[in-house]
Amino acid sequence: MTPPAVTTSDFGQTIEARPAMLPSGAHQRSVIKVFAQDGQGVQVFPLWDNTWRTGILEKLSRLGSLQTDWNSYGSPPPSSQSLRRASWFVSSVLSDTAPRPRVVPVADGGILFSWTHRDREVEIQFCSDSTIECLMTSSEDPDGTEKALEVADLMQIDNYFSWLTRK
Amino acid sequence: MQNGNPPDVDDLSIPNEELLYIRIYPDPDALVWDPSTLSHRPNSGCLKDTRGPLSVDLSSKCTPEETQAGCTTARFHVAAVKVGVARRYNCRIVRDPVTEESGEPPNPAHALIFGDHENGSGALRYKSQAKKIALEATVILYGDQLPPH
Repeated sequence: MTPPAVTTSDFGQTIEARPAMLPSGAHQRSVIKVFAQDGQGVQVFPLWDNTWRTGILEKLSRLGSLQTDWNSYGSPPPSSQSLRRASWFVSSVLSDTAPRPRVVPVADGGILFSWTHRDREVEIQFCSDSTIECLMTSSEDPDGTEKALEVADLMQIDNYFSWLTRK
Repeated sequence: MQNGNPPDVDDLSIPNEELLYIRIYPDPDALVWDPSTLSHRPNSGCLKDTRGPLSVDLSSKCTPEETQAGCTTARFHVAAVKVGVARRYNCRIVRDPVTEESGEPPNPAHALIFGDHENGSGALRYKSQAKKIALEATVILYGDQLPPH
């Protein structure tokens, strides 16, 4: 739910927080912080709460600045499609209570998310061509199960986490 | 020669015990702690590449520090894996020294790991080759951006 615009005119200064600047998403949570010192000045900052999702979104933003040959092996930077989908996945699908993924750029322009728990691992890659791939591996199934995902499948991400932690 | 690469023929003069050095992008998420070896291994995504064979350096021709110095934009991690591990997953190891004539910095240690990706580029299949190799690789030289623990 998008937070309402906040306007304050206290202390003769008007600063408007712009919710449109925040990524949209079901799990979106913003924090309005008001600072006042000695009764002078008001600043209103609409911020993402400081969760791991904030860090991942910042990281994805940084990955968008990578140049060709970022990995020293001639790789292209992550594609805009993979970055857009990855950012949407973090901001709109994952919740703060979800386990934090490892996120790495892939040499051919994709972004890979992975979660490891004991001997199990789930990987979801946002490929440079907009496709989404999933790989689930475990000690019982070291060769793993690989499948292509649709965007709608990502809404069932909790099922993957359940598999990851199942005893 | 395909796409400028040498022929995809395993060079059996490279022994199974030889180490292959791979630069790993310096990111805390690029390293995974392996409690069984009490060391870090590369995140398998770091070895995923569909464009062509995987570039490595031969340990008989260079040091891990020289492999790390092969990139000047950042201090990369260096992972090592035995040639025999790559061969166990049906990969081929081919010498591919980089000479001055190429216009790139010379690298006599450069070699390629050829895999069987379905696109025919010589890239490694991810699930059955790249990921398996990553699981058996070990980070032997750390660069910037270490994981928190």
